[in-house]
Amino acid sequence: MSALITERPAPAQDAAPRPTKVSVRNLEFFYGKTRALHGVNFDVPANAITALIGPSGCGKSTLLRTFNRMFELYPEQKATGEILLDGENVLASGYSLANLRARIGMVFQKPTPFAMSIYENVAFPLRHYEKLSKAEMQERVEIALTQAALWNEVKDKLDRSALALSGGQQQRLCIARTLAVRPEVVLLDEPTSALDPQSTARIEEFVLEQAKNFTFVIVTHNLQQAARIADQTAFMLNGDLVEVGPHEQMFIHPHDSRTRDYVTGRFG
Amino acid sequence: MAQDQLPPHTLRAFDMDILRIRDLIRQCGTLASRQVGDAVDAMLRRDTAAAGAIAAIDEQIDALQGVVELDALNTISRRSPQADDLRELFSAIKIAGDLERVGDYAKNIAKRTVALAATTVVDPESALPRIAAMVTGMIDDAVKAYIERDANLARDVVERDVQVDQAYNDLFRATVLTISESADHIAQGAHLLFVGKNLERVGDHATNIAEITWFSVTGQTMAARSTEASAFDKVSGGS
Repeated sequence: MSALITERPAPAQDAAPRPTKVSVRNLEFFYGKTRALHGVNFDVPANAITALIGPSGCGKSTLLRTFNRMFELYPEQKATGEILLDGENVLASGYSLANLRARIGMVFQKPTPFAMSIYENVAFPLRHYEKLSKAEMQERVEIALTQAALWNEVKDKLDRSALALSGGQQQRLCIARTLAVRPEVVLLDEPTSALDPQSTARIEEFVLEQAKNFTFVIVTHNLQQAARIADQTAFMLNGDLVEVGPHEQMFIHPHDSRTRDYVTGRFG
Repeated sequence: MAQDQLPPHTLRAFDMDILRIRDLIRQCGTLASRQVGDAVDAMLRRDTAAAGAIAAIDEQIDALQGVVELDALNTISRRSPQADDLRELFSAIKIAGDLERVGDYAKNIAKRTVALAATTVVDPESALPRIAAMVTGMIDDAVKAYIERDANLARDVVERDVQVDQAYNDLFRATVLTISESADHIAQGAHLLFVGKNLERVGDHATNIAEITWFSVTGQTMAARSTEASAFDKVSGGS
């Protein structure tokens, strides 16, 4: 499996810090009257991979779903505070939801291909956001499938049903569908939890390869996955952001004993 | 005083892996330390039979080093250790290597007993038991610091190395003086200088073990810590 993973050299100590893409400020989240996030503050660097880790129910998926206001599908859910995308608060009432979803895409735990052809799965969101010629559309579909490391496997059967693909291929198709509209931030909610090791490695390879083009935030229960791919990792517990830092801090010398207990398997 | 008493792993077998490796390091350290003391003792008594037995112990230390390395690799592979556990297993592999080298130095000292068998003990040799006691004490404490996760004891070991260096320098000067006063003692003095150097190197390996133990317990390298204002301050607790 390791052969499928791109090795990225550790950043030099004196390397210039990456600019911030998303700033989370004093974020609180409520399921009805239950407060699920307690004043979360942290920055997501641009063109980097940020992993959110923590035990079930700690709030990491809740945090992820605030980034593109996915929670607004449920009227009893509410977020307060700020999520600044390039300095602009996406939680503000005047911020366009369509614009937000175009800039921040999301991939879910379970592959959710549409019951249509492979080609149409990628073209469908493009038609929603852009008016493209047939040639332009074909080019954009190919680019997205290539970025998702799926093109070579499907280029000769684009008109076949997406439902005939394997689970790993379906997830990469969903990733291609997300990338097609050229988001700046890609949210990944446990994207490999249902996949075999080889399919998982392909997704991780895709994330490592495409971090130069996108900003990734990934929720994962797999500590090793966070250790393998994340530039920075954030540990959450009971709605609090306990600690956020680079690999060396989080997996070799955590500053907080709660982080240490979690990453070493001494938790609960 | 141990500073880092961590709660048990949720997977108890991981705790057993860690304890087993600590016990192997303890065995390895006990053998290496005893071997150094016995080698110096055999040399001073010109006891070639006892010196010959040292080599057999060295093979045990070499075998234990191999077991530590294999156990640590298996544990890394099985448990995917992070943070304190990762640092401890990394340290175990390095410490086993240092103890193996200590065993080699003891064997070198033992070999010189054969060369010195026909000679009488000269005055500078009287310093050897004290130097041997210093370095074996450092080995014992460094290994104890590792097993008990005691950063303060590890720091104490590091600080003691300067005394070993001073004792070696004193031995060196006394031996050169002996050689210069009597050409009959040139060969014996040369052997004595090598023995002294071997003991000084044992002190260096004890220091290595203490330094890697410091890293294992605190997560900081000692060199990095020494640049801070609180360099070598007592560790008050936590990791």
